[in-house]
Amino acid sequence: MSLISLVAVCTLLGSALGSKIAGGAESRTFRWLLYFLSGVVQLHLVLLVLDALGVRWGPAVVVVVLVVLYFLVRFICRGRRTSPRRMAIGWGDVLAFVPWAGFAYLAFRERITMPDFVYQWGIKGLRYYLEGGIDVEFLAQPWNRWVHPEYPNLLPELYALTAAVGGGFREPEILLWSAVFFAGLLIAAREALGSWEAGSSGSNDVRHLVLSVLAFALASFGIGHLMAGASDWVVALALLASLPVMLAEPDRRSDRQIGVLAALASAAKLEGMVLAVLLVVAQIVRRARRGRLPLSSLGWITLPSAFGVALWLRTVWQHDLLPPSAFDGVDLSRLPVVLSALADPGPMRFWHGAALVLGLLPLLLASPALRPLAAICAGLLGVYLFVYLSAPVDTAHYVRSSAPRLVLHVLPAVFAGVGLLLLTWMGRRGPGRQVTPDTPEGGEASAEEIYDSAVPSRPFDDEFRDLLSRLDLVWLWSRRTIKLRYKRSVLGVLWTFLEPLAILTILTVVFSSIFRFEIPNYPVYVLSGWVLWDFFSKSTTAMVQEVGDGWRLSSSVRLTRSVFLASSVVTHLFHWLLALLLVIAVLLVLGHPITWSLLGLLPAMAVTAVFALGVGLVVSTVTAFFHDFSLMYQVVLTIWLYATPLIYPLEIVPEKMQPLFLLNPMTHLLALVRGPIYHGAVPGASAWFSAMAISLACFAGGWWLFTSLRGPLAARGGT
Amino acid sequence: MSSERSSWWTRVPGSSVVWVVLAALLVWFQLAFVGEFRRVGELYDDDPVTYSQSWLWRPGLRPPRELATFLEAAKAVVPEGSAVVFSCLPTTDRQDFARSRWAAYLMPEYQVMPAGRTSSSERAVADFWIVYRNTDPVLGGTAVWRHRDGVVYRIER
Repeated sequence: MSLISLVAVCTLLGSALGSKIAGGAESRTFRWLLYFLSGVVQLHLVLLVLDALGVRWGPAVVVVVLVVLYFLVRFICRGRRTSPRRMAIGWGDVLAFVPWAGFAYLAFRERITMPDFVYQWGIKGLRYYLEGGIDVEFLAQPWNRWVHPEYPNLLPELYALTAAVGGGFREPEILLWSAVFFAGLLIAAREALGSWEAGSSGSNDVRHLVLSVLAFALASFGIGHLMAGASDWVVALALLASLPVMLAEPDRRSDRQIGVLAALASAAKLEGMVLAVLLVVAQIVRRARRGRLPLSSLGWITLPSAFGVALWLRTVWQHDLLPPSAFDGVDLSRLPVVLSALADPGPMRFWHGAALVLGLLPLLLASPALRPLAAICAGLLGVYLFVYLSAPVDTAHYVRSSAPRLVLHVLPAVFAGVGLLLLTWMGRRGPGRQVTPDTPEGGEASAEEIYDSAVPSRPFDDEFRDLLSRLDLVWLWSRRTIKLRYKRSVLGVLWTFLEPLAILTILTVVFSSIFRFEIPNYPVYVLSGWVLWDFFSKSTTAMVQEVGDGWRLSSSVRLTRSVFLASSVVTHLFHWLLALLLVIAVLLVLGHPITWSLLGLLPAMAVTAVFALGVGLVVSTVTAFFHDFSLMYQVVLTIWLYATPLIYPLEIVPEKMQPLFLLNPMTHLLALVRGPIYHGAVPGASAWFSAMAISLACFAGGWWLFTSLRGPLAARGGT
Repeated sequence: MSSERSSWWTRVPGSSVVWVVLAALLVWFQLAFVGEFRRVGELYDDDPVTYSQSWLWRPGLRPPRELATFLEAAKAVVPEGSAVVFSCLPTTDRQDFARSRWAAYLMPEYQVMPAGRTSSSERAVADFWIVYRNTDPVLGGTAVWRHRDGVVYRIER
């Protein structure tokens, strides 16, 4: 009951800001969340001020101060309140409630808390409860350096107040604070996804699915990693709650909301202070790009967090709470240790693969509205990497123990961002009212696109959006290519099996019998790599041909030219899927174990397709200018084939040359494909991260080249 | 067979592909959720791994309950607010540290310092030394209270 009372008090306190912090764009639940969070921030600042004045947090003092504050703020922020946006409860909201309820139940019943609660947050909350304020004497003792005395105190304050209201420090109730912040995360995700409501039932289903997936992923991690009582929920909430704000046009209302969220982040954790700085900078940049930045806006954005941080710094410096040496200079030799610790499946296993979503962070750059979020997430992750490379501690242990929690800070926001990209695409396909990242406040999309010469051309974005809106054409063009290929063939799709089978036989005879490679089940070993190479070489080669045909067509009909390149990839993905039947047949015949890990091939194929598309974009673009390049590319492919450890193991390469082979992107993609087929296991996180990073970088580079030369290419007619 | 019927897959819209992928992810994370939910129950109480590794302790588990019972009894002979050194099983440093933090959490009215992570100068301000499940005597200390789970020593100056 004490927890519910405090949540209600915070919400009431925050509602005093009412007309200042909320406009008409939010749903009712998100508005309540904003009220609650601003109430939490006000409560935190009040407690800090009381502490600075040397006043203990007695119930009577706190109640009187809060009542006065409420009426004072209400008087200052008086004004007309607008009605909230209507947002109906959908099946995704109901489904997302289930994992949240599971987490809350376990937090209350089983007290699923990690050592951090006992070592830091809980013990500080207990001491503050007993002392009736921040117990600086306790924090300043040298043997208490393990409780992180230099951390901001929002969570211990909330715990202490909950205990004070409830008349005792009862863990089940205290730990439910995490469930409250988890609920806030889901409300913020729902709001962000809902702001892209496209009107079509398909996109609504996707919105509900994304929310449900996020809820189950967060609950699984929260339960598995014993996250009740941790402060990381607050940091994650501050970031995700800023997403709906950043999607809207920057105005005075969003200044206030960002100011509150930055203050919340800075009060939660040291990492939250970094987030607060990034949020503040992002909002100032957004405002500055749209025109003048009024002084009052600058004050709303910066002052709440600056005030809290100033009071915190005062305490830290006055009592010498900072650790003696937090940084040791950046040591790049720690990078391999950091990467191998990140790849350790042990600590990250509680994410159940959800952490891989962070690999999709660059995709957020595709939408101008999501770029601030992408920049903030990248900045936050960059700071974490900097700390890992510079902290004078056991790096491997440090990374393993903290990385899963740090992932929580950014993952919900990145997940919601990726969901928004999907919804953008669905919304463009769907009928009715369409809201896109470029018109997030709900402007009606016109039926006809109007050319405005004042709007700067952004070929990188425009082509990408056009491609996403023409996926049906990709589908049709792929179908046409496949039908053409087998139309006059007697054996039809059997050719898909015969060709690799013939090559498999030759390679097995040559390398297994003549060169005598001692690799168990060599045919499977070769075949697992050959299906990958076959897809890559044929799809990229086909792109050169497709782009010529397609561009001739697009010179008479308005078509997005990247459609033809994407259709080459889709066509050859179809062939690859057929070839997998051959792989399974070979596995069965040779008695090689078939495991569920074969399902891991599907994401591996997706990653490879992105890489192939990137290479194909480069090859086809360069070929349009230098026709000889298509012939040269065949030579490059032959060299590339033998430079890839496809028909031989990497171990036979001299050790000092092996790093060179790791520079070959196909080596990393090969690991993703060979793992499930030959080794019967899905590769670890590091293999996925490196392959995804290479693929996305290659795709981004190829896309940039293709789109930036779009004009000259059109003039050449693609030939 | 008409071309339309033979190419059913061409009629599958891209949005359905997205829907199927997300539905598969939902099933995957639902299974993960169920697995984690069940695992919490398995870790509860008498699991030998949980019992032996103090950093896996959670409030309410049997090992911290036993430590709490012992410390509650020990508080009778240690004046409130005293500085207390805590040490336990002669196992790893990490074990000792984890249990010391638990002791600090369970004795919030005291200044509890972990024996293995504090310098001798820091320990010099301590008045008492609590030893939990360890028979090694504390040098320079006089046993003032004995229990089957440990001993409380007063540190002589």
